Amino acid sequence: MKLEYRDTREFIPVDVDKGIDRLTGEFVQADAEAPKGYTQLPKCKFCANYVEEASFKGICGASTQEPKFMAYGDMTAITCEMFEAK
Amino acid sequence: MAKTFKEVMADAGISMDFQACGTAPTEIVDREIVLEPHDRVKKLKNIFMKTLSSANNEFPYWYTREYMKLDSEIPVVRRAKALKRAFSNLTPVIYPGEKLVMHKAPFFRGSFPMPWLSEGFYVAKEDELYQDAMKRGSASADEHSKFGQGGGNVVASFGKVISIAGKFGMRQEEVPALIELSKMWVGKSVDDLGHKYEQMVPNYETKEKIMRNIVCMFDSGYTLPQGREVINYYYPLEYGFDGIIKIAREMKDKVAGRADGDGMVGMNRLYNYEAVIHVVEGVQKWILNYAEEARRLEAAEKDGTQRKEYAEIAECLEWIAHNPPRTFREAFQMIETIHLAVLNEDAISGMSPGRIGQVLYPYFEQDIEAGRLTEDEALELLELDRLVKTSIDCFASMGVVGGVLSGNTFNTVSVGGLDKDGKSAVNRLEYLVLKAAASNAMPQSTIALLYDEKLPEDFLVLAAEVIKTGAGYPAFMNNQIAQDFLLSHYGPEGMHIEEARAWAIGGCLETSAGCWKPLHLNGKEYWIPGGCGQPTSVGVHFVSMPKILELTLYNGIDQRSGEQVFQPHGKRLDTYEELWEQFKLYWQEAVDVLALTNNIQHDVWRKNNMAVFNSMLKPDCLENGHLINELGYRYNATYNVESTGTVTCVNSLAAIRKLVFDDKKVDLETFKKALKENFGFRTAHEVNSFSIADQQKRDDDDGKWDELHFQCLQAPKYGNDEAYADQILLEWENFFCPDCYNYESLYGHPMYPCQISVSTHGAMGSATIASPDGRLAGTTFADASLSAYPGTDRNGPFALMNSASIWDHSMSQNSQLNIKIHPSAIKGVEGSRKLVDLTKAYMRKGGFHVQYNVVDSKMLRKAQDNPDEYRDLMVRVAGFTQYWVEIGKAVQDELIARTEYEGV
Repeated sequence: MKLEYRDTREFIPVDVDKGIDRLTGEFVQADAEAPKGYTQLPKCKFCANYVEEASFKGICGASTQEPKFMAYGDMTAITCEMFEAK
Repeated sequence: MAKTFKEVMADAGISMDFQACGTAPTEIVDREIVLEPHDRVKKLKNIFMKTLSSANNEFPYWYTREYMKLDSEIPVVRRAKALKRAFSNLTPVIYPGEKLVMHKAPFFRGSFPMPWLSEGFYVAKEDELYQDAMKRGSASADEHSKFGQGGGNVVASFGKVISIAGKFGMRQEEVPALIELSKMWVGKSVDDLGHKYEQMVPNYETKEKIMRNIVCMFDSGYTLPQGREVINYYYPLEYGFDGIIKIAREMKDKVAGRADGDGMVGMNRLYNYEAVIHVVEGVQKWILNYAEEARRLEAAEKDGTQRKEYAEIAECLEWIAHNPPRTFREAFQMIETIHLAVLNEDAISGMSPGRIGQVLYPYFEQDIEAGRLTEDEALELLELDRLVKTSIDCFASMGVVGGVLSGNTFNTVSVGGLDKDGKSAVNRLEYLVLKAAASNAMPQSTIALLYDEKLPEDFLVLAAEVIKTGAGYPAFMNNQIAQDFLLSHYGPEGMHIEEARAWAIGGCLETSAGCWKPLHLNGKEYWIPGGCGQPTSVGVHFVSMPKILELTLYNGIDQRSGEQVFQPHGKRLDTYEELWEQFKLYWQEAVDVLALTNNIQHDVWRKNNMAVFNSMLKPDCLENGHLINELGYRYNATYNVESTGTVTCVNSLAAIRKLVFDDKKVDLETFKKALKENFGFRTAHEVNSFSIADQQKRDDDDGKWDELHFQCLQAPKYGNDEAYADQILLEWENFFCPDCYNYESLYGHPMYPCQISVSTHGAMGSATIASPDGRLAGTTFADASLSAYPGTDRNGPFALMNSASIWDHSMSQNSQLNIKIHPSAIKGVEGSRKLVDLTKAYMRKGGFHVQYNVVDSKMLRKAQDNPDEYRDLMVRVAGFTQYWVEIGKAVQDELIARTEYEGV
C-alpha cells in the first residue's frame, strides 16, 4: 500500500507542510510518497471504528455518547486506546 | 511624486534624519558581538528557522468530546476531566538531537484553537475556510514561496495548507472538523456567554462604540484570559506529581462535606481537589506518552549515541512523571513540561518562567559539586530552552496575534534582584542564563534584569554585552521601584518587604507578585522565588489616549468613522483647563464601562474555564483548596487599566496648550480643521507606510496648513528635559495612576495602572486621525509609555531620562522606555560600561524600565526591502524581542523612524 510520508511512523512532523524522514534525516514534504516498507501511522482513517460520512470527517464508532461523537480521518491515533487497525 | 514629509521638512530647514548626538557612519554597521550556540542547538535552530506556525485539532477534539459527554458533572470536575482527556491524547513527537523534549502540539511550532473560549471566528469564517480547504489541491512552487515574507507565519493558504488569521497553518483535512467542533461551542463559549451578559450593563452601547472605533483594543476575557504573570514551579519540584496527588487526596478527606465557616465557596474545596487530581493525572499521562515514544525510538535507533540519548530522555520522563527531580536536567525538563502544560490549559500569552536561574540553582550547585554536570552542559540546556520557548505560539485571532503580540508570547525570564534576606540574588547559573541568551540569540525567552545597586558590576557588564548582540535583551527593571509598587498595592493583602523581594516580570513588562518557598534537595534547604498572584495584565486593555483626545476635541465624535462614541459634551473648550477636564471625564467614562463589561467576561471565564493546573501550582491553592476563580492565590488585586499612546497624547496636549491658549497662534476650530485635513498629506494607508518620515503631500495640496503644521512639530515635545511638555506628563500620571483605583475588578479589588503598549501603538495609530503634535493620520503613536516620539528627542539620552522620570514610577505597575542606539556608539568594553552607566543613571533618577535596541536603522530599511536575507534579524519592539520578518509593517516603520542615538 502506498503511503504519504505524513501517514508513516518514520515521518517526524515539523509543520503542516513538511517533516523529517527519521531514517535519512532529510527534510521531506508531508504529501510526498513515502518509500516502500515504511510503517503505517495509526490514524482514525485506518481505524475499524471510524466511519467517514463527509469530506474529511465522520464518526467514531467507539465513542460512548449518543449520538456517536464526530471524528476526522486524519487525526493521529497512537495515543487512542480505542484504535483498532482495519 | 508628491513631496515626502521628510522633504517638506528639509525645505523648511528642519532636519529629519532621526539621528541625535552625532552622525551615523555611511555604511551599515552590524552588531559588534555575534556568538554561536552548540552544534546540537544549531541543528535544531535550523529546523526552527524553516518551520511554519502550525495548528491542529487534537487537543480541542478530545477536550470537546469529553466535555460534551459530562454535562451532568460539577463544572470544575467536568473541565478537569476534559483537560485530562486532552493531555492524555496528545501525540508525542521527539526531534533528533533534542534533550529537553515535549511541545505544545505535535509540530515543532505547534498550537491549537480553544473554541470554548471563542469560536466566533471559525463559525463566521466557515464558508471561506471550508471552501479554501475543499479546493486545495497539490502544492505548487509558487504557492510555497508565498509565505517567505512572514518568516514562520503562514500568511496565505498554499498547497494543502489553510492559513488561519494570516498566522497559523492548518491541514485542509482538519478544517471541516475544526468548524464542526467550533459549532458545538456556539452559545456556550466565554465569548458568547460573556457577550450575552455584558449587554446587560446599562451603557453597553458605549462599549460597543469604543471597540468599533478602536478606542480600546481588545476584550481580554475570552482572548487571553490568563498570563502576564509568573508561574510557580515549586510544588512539583518539592513533592513531585505523585506527591501532589497525595496531598490533594489527603485534603479531600479533610474538607469533604465541610464548609469550615465559609458558606459561599467552602464546600467547593472538595471538587477543586478532585479536579486537581484529574488534571495532574492527565499531565502525567502526557509525559509518559513521550517516555514511551522515546523508548520506541531507542529500540529502533541504530546510532549508538542517539540511542543512548533517547534512553536518557525516557529515563528522565519516567522519573519526573511521578517523582521530584534529582538532577539539574530532570529539574529543567520538569519546569519545561509544567510550563507547556499551563500554556495548554488556557489561551495564554506572557506566562513567564520567572527567576529560573534561582529556581534551578539548587540542582545546578549540587550537580556541579558532585561532578555530574559541567557548566558547558548547563549552557547547552539553557540554549535548548530558548528554542523551546521561541517555538511557543499562542493561537488567537489576528487582531490579538498581530495587533497586540506581534507573534511573541512573552515568556520572560528574570535575572538578578534580591534574595529573601535582601542580598544580591545573582548566582553562577544566572551568568550562564545571560550567556545562553547571547550564544543562542532568539526572541524568547526575553530577559528582564531586576536591577539593584547590590548587583555585581561584572554581571551588569555581561548584560550590556548581551544587549550588543542586537537581541534587545536584557531590559533593565528597577528593583526598588518595583518593591515600592508591590508593597503599596499588595500591602492590604498582607505583603511585606521580604515577600516583595520575590517579584519578577510577568509577560513582557508586568511587575508581578511572588513569594519564597523552601525547596529541599539532599537534606539542604533553598528558598526559591515563584509567582503567587493572579494574571497581572488582565482588565481594561489598551485605551488609546490620542483617540480620547480626538473625541474630546470633536464633541465625542470619531473623525474616522463619523460615529458619536460618547454623548456630546457640548463644551466650547475655551481654556486648556476645560479641555483637560473633559479629556479626563471621557477617559473615566471609557474605563468605567470597559471595566464592567470586562468583569462579566472574566466572570463567565472563571465559572466555566477554571485554571486548575495553573492554580494548583501557585501558593496557596493546595493549602486552602481554592483555585484562581475563588481567590485561591496569595495576591488577587491584579487587574489593571492599560494605556497606549501616552507621549503622542502628551505632545498633542502641549501643542494645543502652546499654540491655541498660550501663544494664540491659531484658534481651536481652525486647528481641528487642519487635523481633519491631515495637514494636506495623504493618509498612511494611502501611502502604505506608517512611519511619519515616509508620509506624502496630497497632489492637490495648496500648502495652507504648512505653517501650522511646522508650528505643531516645533511645539514643545516630551523627552528633552524641558518642563513645558514634561509637566503635562506629570499631570497625566498624577491623574491616571490613582484613578485606576476607582475601578473594581471581579475579585473585589481595586485595579491599578499598567503602562505598556506592546504593539498596539501601531494598530491604534492606524485608526486615529492626525494629532496636534504634528503626527499624521494613520501613522503609529510613540511606542511604549515613555519613549519619545521618533525624531523629537534632540537633547540626548540623559535629557530623555530626565523627562521620563519626572513622575513617581512606583505609582504604576510599570512604565516603559525604549531607546535606539547605533552599534558604533557603544563599541568595545568602554561602550558596554557606558551603557551600564547610562542605565544606572536612569535607575537612580527613579526610572522603572529601560531597554535598548542596538541596531543600524539602515539595516532595518534594507531588511524591510529584502526580508528573505534577514530571516534571523531580531529587533526589540516594545517589551519584547521579535524576528524582524514576523512583525507587522506598521511597527517595522515605526522602529525605523525611532530616533537613533549616535553617541551616549
